[in-house]
Amino acid sequence: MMLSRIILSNKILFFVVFVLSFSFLNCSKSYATRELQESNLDVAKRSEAIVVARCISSESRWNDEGTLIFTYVTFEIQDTIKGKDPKDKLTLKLIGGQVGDVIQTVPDLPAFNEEGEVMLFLGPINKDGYPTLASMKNGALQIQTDIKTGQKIVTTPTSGLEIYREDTEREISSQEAEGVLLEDMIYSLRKALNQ
Amino acid sequence: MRKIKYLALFTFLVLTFPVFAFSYHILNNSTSTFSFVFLRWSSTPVNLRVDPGTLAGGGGQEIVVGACEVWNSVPNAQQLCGSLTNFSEDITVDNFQSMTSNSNGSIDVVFDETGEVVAALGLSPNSTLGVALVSRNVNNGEIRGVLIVLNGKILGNSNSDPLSTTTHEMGHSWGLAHIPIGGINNSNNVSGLEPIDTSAIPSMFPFNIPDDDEFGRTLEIDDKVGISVRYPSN
Repeated sequence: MMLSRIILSNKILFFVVFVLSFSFLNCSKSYATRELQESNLDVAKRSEAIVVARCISSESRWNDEGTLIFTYVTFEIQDTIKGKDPKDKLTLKLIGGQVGDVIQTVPDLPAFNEEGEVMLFLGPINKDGYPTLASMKNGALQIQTDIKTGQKIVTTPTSGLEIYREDTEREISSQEAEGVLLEDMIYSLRKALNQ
Repeated sequence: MRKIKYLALFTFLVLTFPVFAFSYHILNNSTSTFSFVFLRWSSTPVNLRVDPGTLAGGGGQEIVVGACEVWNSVPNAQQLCGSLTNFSEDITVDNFQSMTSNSNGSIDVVFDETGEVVAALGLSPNSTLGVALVSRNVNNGEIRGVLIVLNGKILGNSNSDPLSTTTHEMGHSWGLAHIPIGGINNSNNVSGLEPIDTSAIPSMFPFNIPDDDEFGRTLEIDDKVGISVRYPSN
């Protein structure tokens, strides 16, 4: 009887610790910028270019002055949804990165993994000749491939954009959407931008 | 059966108990999901170097002083802001990389009147209100320096307040991350649990505050607890 009570109290203790641990975990990513609050549709309209691209390389290095670290991320463009850039590659020069034991970050600046696919929303070209990200929060949508079906899916949640099925032209979401087929996202964006 | 009922009741109470004190988020130095090395300065107060130019057409130094006063007034916390000095010349996109330093033990504040500095960092000059670049040691999370860039091109319009943004970016300088509280508020019609009043949205919310961005000038309890825990006055 005493042993069963001890076991039960330990289970309770474990359960309490388990539940409370979620209060302390920093589960969400954290931005170190402050932005204007915009929907994905707002960002799409404001973007100078929107492309589907695959990351082929990423390199961090100090600037010439030795004061700031920049990361150079190169993409192979697979589809252009907006803009008329005929190039098949583009490179982003983004502040932050790690060199040696020094890390400089704007946390939650979108992370790009080599071979990863993304939909990029690009702003104006900066003085160094590199395109800017049109938005921190909505500037890069992650694309994953469904292992079973081979379909590409936009996994980053979106808001404020009406999503239509490309094959039926039927609206499937008018506000928040998650796990949208890439082909439907592209179709919906082109439809919204042409209106 | 009785024990199961007690356990269920206890769980219900725990899950519904207000967790404001745990809602602040702290920038962490983790390189894996299961290890956290929280970012913080090894000693305070921290000195600031400030752009002598204007911000959104007005005095920028006064805004930085105002933000410092806000963070230095947190109960039970150390004094965070130290002395303010000016750079010897106006900081622009042409000289910010040589004039500022992200690892010299200070917080450098740049007033980017044209948005070109923000763009040079790879970010949008049309939507980024401010940015804080935190440099730290990868081994222990010790903050070595911070570069804050305030975008004067859009601050002051588009319902964005320079002091609120400066207060927010300065919060990052102390190692605070963003707080999601405010994403569901009584102004944006986002579906979810009971919306928060926009006047109560914490300063570390990552976007400008609907209705009136000046609400971001004052710290809410989540902001204050985050600082008092990381930099306790005793």
